[in-house]
Amino acid sequence: MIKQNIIITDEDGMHARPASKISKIAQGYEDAITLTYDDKDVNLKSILAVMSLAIPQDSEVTLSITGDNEKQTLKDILKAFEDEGIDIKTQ
Amino acid sequence: MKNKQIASKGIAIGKAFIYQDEGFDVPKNKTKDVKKEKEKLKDALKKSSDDIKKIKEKSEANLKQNADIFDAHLEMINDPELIKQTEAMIENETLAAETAYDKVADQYIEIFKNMDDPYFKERASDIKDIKNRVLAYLLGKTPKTNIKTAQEDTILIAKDLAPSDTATLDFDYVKGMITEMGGTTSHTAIMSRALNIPAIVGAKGLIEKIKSGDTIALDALNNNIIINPKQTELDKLKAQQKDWQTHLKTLNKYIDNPTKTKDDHQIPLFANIGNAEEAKNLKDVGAEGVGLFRTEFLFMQSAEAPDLKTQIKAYQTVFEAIQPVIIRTVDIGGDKDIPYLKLDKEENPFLGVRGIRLALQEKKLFKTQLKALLIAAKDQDDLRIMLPMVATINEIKKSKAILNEVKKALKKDKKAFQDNIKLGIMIEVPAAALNAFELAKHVDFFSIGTNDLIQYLFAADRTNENLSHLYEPYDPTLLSTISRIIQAGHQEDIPVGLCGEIASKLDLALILTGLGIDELSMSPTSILEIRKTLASLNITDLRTLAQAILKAKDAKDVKKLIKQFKDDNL
Repeated sequence: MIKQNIIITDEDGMHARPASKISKIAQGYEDAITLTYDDKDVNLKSILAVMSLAIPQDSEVTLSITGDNEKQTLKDILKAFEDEGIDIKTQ
Repeated sequence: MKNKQIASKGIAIGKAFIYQDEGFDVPKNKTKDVKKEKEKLKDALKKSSDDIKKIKEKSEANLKQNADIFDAHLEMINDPELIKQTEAMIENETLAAETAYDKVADQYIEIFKNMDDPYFKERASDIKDIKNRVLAYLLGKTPKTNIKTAQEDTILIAKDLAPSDTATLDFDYVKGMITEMGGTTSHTAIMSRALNIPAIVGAKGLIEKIKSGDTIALDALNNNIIINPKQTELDKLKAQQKDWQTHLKTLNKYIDNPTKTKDDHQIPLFANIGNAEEAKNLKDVGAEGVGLFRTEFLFMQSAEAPDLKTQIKAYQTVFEAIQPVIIRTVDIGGDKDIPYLKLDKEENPFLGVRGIRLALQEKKLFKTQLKALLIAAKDQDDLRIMLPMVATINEIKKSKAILNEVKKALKKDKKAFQDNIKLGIMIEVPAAALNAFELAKHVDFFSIGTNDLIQYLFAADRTNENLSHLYEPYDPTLLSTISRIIQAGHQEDIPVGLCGEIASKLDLALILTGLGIDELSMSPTSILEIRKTLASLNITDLRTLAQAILKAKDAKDVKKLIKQFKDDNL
């Protein structure tokens, strides 16, 4: 498993539009992708789970990836965040 | 149904479709066949996804709204966690698919409902929306929005229709509309006229008298609604409908002519529009331009602020369809709430943070809109921007400073944009009306917004049915206020238009022309009738009429004068 901490700096936080696109992209990967915020782990492939975290601006979240292509998946998911207009700061 | 009013003229006959936001009572069904229930779930999810895809395509095609929210709905329907939990419940508790799905979806609705952040809280309604659709299929019913797939003439009947409701309705088969609430300036009324669909509003108590599928004859010429009409009544109505269409045809001769009086005084008749799609048909109804493009619809029909690209596309659609166009910057607030802006709840929203007040507060939103307008108009002759709800000179100055910032940023980025900008204001706040002589020195045009000016002038809520006697456009106080605003504009050599509902009324259009208004902007369907009438009158006579009306002592007097005038001249 690999982990990456990121900070969501977008002023709207993790709202519906990017969340829907990122979950959809995540669904394209075999690897298990977990998003952790405020000690809660959710499946990044589930828009409802991601949005139920109500992640506000300047939150630190952790991406954990388990599977056969962990590195590539992480790289792609980080890019997806950026492409969908969510500014992130990796830590 | 005593207080019902005609909102848009015409006759329509069709099957009643009662639009209401109803949930489902889901029985606690057990199952013996887990596999079958899972299949049922899969099938309902597939049907629901297909629906949403179709709705999304439609919305994108006609640009009625930002379709991004439907991507989120699609993801919610196919959410792997929601499906997994539902399947687990079917298996572990041997529940029927509808019972399990209802329970699991409700858990999510509860989570969102209890959130502090108003944006996320509002998402509970999105989940409810998809839940009701999936449940409808699981219970073998038709989802409520299936009016989209109606295959016969339909009369849409609702308690009230919010802009967000109408945004998702498909009007291909909607031949008429009836609402129980609202007056002739309600959203339903304005929209029905824009779409040219006969409508009656304020028909209280109608819904309990009918059921979906009843035949409804909507006679919006005589303000009459007949439930399951007899054949003789149908025949009579169809004959009237034919006469009405013939009448409309005689008006068609005036489509390509500019509006002028018999003695050659020109007075352009513009259209008011509420979304980009409406612009496409304006030339067919004889509009000579757009005098009011209400841009807030763009902001109200999606879960988030429309981005730059979406806005540019919408504005360009309008610019390509017709010229000139006066664009009113976003006028949110009052009765138009926007969940994602997280606005404070106000005791008195019509006197609250709305129009330019909100724009100056939500600068990012305002700047994005101005930027989109400047870019979208880059190939036009000019760009006419109008600010709503202006009360003071300071608001104009602040808006100009922001506009300059936007221009500077575009120049720095070397982006092509329209530099020939005419900045105007709505005159709809009494303070602006009183200070019109000063305000005129700071702007390029005025447009009198009578819908709000009347309610503020008489301190009478225009949606309050008990105050409709005060909402009186024939009142000489209003007419002399308008006359004064026109004088103020003309003293500074700027044009003064008018874009309220009153411009659509023939009598008032005649009075306003006599008062010297430079342009009237109205419901598109009223243009030809007014053009035809003006063509048979002299401006000199209309001016004399207007002067007499300014001396009238009350609305009744005004009405008498205009009736006399029409009897003598038409």
